[in-house]
Amino acid sequence: MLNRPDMNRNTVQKAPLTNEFVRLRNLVLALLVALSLQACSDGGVVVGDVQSGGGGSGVPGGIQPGEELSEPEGNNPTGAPPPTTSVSNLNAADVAASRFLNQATFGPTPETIAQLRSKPSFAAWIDEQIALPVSVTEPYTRANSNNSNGAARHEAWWNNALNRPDQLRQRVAFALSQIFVVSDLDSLLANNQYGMASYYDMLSQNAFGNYRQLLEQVTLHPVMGVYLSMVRNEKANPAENIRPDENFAREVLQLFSIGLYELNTRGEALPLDNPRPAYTQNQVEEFARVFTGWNYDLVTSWEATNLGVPDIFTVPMVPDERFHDTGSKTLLNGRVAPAGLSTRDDMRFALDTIFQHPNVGVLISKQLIQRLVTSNPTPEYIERIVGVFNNNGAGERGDLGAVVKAILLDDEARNGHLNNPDFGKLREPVVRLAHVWRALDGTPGPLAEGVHNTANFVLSRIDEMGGQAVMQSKSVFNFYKPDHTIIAGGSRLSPELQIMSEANLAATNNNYHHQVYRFNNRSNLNDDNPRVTIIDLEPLVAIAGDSNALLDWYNLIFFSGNMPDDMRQSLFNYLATLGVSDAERFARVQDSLFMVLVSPQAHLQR
Amino acid sequence: MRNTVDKEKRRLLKTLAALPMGAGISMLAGNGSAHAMGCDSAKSLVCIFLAGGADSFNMFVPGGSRYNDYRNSRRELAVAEADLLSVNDASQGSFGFNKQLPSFERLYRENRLTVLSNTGTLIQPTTKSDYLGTVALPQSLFAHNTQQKLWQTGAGIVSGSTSFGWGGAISSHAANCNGRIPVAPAFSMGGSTDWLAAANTNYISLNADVSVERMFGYDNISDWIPPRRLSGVGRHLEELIAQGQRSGNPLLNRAIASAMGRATNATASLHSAIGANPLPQMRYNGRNKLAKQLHLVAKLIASREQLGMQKQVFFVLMGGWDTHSDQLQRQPFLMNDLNEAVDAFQSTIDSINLSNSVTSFTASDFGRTLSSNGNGTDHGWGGHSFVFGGAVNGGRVIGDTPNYSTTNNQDDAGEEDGSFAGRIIPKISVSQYAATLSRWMGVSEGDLNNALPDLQNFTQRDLGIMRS
Repeated sequence: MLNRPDMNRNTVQKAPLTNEFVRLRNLVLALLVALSLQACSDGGVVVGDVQSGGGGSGVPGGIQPGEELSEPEGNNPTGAPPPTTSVSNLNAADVAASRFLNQATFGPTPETIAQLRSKPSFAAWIDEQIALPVSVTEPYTRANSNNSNGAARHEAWWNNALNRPDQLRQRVAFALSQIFVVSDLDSLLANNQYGMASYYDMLSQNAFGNYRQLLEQVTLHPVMGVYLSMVRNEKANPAENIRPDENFAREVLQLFSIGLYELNTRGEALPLDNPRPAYTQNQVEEFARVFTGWNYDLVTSWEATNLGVPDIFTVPMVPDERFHDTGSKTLLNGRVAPAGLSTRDDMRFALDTIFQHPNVGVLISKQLIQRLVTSNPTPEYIERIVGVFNNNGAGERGDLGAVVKAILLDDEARNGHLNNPDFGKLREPVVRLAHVWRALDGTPGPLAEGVHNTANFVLSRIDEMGGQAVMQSKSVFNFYKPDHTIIAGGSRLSPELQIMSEANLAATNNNYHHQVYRFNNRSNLNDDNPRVTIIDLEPLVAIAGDSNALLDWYNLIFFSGNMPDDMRQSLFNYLATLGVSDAERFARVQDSLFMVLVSPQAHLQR
Repeated sequence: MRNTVDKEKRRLLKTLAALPMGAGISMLAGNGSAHAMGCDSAKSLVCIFLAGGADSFNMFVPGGSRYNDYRNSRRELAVAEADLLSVNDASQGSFGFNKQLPSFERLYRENRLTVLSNTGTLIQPTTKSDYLGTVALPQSLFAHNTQQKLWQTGAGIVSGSTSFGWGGAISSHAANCNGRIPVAPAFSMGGSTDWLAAANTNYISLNADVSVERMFGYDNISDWIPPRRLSGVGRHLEELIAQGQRSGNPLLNRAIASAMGRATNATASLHSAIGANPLPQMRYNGRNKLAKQLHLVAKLIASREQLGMQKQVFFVLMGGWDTHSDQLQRQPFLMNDLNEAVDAFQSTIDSINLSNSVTSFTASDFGRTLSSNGNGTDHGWGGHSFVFGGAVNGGRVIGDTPNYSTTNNQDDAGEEDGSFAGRIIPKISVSQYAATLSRWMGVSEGDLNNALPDLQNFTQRDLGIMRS
């Protein structure tokens, strides 16, 4: 462990792997510090406000991050003018790895950057990720919830996002949960948390599978059955003036597959001023007839109201032919589901029809790009990914693993920041918080029983802070719309900006304030809330005597090398107002970290 | 003294940060012509958006001989005649409010609530044969997101220059009346909304579930940052925002920086204004999210003078109205919450004697199908809206009651095979509704024409909802 002047965290149980992680991090930090010092000597820039106690020879490994630095108390012992310009010196390969991990995981850490760099290629890392076992949430939710307590599935999700190795799968599953949306703001689902967790795990399991299979599992999951009222949808009864329910039929077309308008492979709806609808109201009604006759499994009858068996919401729905409309249905592109098909065959015929529609790859690919990489992919980028969706190279359509891999390895993902001013996206609030905890070794508070909490919000309510909590959007249209424009009437998109409201920005600012100043490893939690997750500032304190080293750490981890020069200079100027004693270095870290985390610049992922 | 240049630069940056920020996307308020046309009296307008498509056909029901048609089309979803709160319209006879809406009935009887019958998105007056023919129809009828957007923008298509909301046209006018003040006169308690989107005026998005907090670190606010560091931290935070607003590309950087600038300004001003006007007399069930939003609205209305706002617009949102299933179980709870929120809000406005200068109205994605899907309803088109407040010429039903019959119904958009669908073609357009309310707020006819491009297609530009 690093120096801990205040040992009041003795009671905190650390995860078993933490020591190893810290050791790894120390190594990386040492490398970073050494590199920046080397740059100073090579580039002729004088580091005037700190002398490295380890000698500062510029030789890698010449300084141990745990060592105390000498303390000139902010004065310049040589009497020479202090440096006024901050210079970044990051390793290009580290930066490239950090950028990649921002897109593919819940945020880079010194350890994961080192791990990624130890692989032969990003592609090899992706292959390894795809092969990793799936981290799930249902077992934990069953063990820790009475089925109505919603906190457990959030805890399980956060543990996976923060600690589990299958980062890419978890990140893609979170993206899928924002396309195939369900939400336990629905009161019936609120009381079926095992089902909610099971739905999420289904997304995780299919994250690198085939879209067609995913679509069928989504369709038949009872949680979706409840959310879009497909469960117990009955064939028409003309005598009673009753029609089938159009809810699932409409949204499976609009949101889960083809969208409102005909699209070309570049993602454009044409003509721009009045695009052609991809389907008609009548076609919605035909699909509504298809999706009739599905009931919960494990119930005794179509009408049974006793839904108290939790497993009802974790096993796929089953057909009841008596309530299925067996007539023929005219679906998309003139395809007609013949009369007399069984409930299941009819459903499969309809999903096959949807799957073959040329829009599917466009809608799904573009949204996955937006969730992982950039809000405004170029038409060429979209077209390349749609090509992979339509054919993974081995003749398979809908291979999501191939799509994700292509999205991340595409030249635009890797180099878009160099040549495209519109490249990038705002980080999602949930992903940002996960990243901060990952990067700063967030550990549950001593009385939190292993559960993460923010200062003011439990994880199941952090939507009140940032407008986003897992599977908790206000409607099937997700937390934000994929076509939300930066400026009303403009053309450039930023879905996430839609939830960056004044209230959410203020609450987020205050959350990071509390995190940095009240809930860090030196906090005296006897006077504060011992259930709040604590971040470890010591690795930063160890390097904080060197402003450039500290800023380089932020730049690498929180900006992937994109911290703007003027911002860096501002922080550098601020740091120069503080000394370098242990207490002053701690102050340097607190103030600069807070400014970094709440800065507008840190919201941008490029 | 380390560096005098730095200090001077910081001072300059601080000044920049205090100015209205960024072009276009972050104007704080208008150009200060407080005596401009339509600015004479203080007014506030409140949009209550019932998200998901409210089944308003079960909130306000025709009486007399038309009740049978209503019952026949709605079948098991029909509200029993005995459960209706009966009211009368001088020209159209008897109607009934759902029994979950007694405060609506009360306001109607007090002539302070008007029902706007069968209103919806339209590009031009549209008959059934128009619908089946080639007349231009609103884009993507029956889809939630597009119909919400068309309601809120008052346009027939979803993209392009018509993306600004008609609430935004009102807020632009309000900004002109208000002059230079630190906070935009438009507020959403329902998250991002197209209704308040405008070219040169922002709106402030607040969360009624949590109190309006000041932002720690700014303005010397923090009990945890030691005083000797606090002002430096705040100054540098403002500097970072100013840098973000100045940065060229990407646009995204400027947008998020401007949003933060607005957040710091707004939370500081609103925190103190709201604290001065807590309005504890507004009572409601703490779980009623709409009431919470309207409580915050009431506080901001009570703070009108303190905030320097002659005109204000508000957007509140209540979800859950997409009753595809279990409508008979779910809709009563929705209406009960709506009723309680409206009752508590209007009573509070009455209690602070601002009744005549505050008007509230409902809107929704669309009406729902008259026909049932077994235990719920699907996406329709036209539906009823409600307008209330002291300035409303109430106790009336404006617009023709739609035909509820399941046979040969010329108000029904119908199925492709000609059978009954129960999707009712609206008779009153959103443009007319919007123009009437905007005019009351003082928006000029010229600005109305710009904000509502299809208004020219309708002969009646004012529905006569308001007293004057």
